[in-house]
Amino acid sequence: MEANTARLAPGTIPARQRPVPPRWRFTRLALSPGLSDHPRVHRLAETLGLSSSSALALLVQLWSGALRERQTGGLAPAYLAALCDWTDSDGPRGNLIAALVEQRLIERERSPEPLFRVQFPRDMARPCR
Amino acid sequence: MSATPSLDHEPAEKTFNNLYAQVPLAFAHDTRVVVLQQELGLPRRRDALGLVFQLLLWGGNSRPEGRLDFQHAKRHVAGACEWNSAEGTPEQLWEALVTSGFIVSDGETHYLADWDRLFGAVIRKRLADSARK
Repeated sequence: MEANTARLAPGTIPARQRPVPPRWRFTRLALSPGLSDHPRVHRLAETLGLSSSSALALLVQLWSGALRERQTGGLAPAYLAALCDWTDSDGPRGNLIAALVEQRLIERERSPEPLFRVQFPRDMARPCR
Repeated sequence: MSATPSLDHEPAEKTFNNLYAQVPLAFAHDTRVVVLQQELGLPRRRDALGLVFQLLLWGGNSRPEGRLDFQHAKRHVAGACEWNSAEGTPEQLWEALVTSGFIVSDGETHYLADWDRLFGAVIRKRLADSARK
């Protein structure tokens, strides 16, 4: 429990000051060839009112942003929205979070505050070195 | 004997199934994406980035060595990017992709840029595996 309370607030600490997980050497994101036609991408696009290609780009921004920042868990909604380049003009941030949760692309963590973990479904994308 | 076969020794027609594109984490922040966005007058960087990923995922698995020298290539590229007539013509999309540097030319043939960087390692590994068997 102590580790949880001592967790750094997500999105507030520059990446270089955060503890880097050992053996974290991900430099690339492997995208499945069927990603652009994946049902979850289409459903995400439909829910958010985006084109399929924009939804695809949003997901890649989310995955690669989280890997680049070396933090795939304990992410606050504001931080997730920033990773996805989601602004107020795109709609309420809650819509984005709800759509990502619905498609199981992020998962709510067991914590009092709303924190999420980015998911990498094997048939969509996976981190690689 | 070299353990790593070169792509140059493979028939040009050879294609591979189920190739994962290995995208560098900083790819989304490539300056070329901004150029493409401006060339096409798209409202968001995300829109341009989506076109690029659609193109790369299609090209990696259907175009040997990323070559775009076949008939009606511009229309195929537009189809792969889900670029519809309301957004512009296939020629406009092609020109923007060339200007931004996602499609490159050696003077005779057009190619998908970065094809080797994104797919080369996977293909070389597969060639090495098949040579070992």
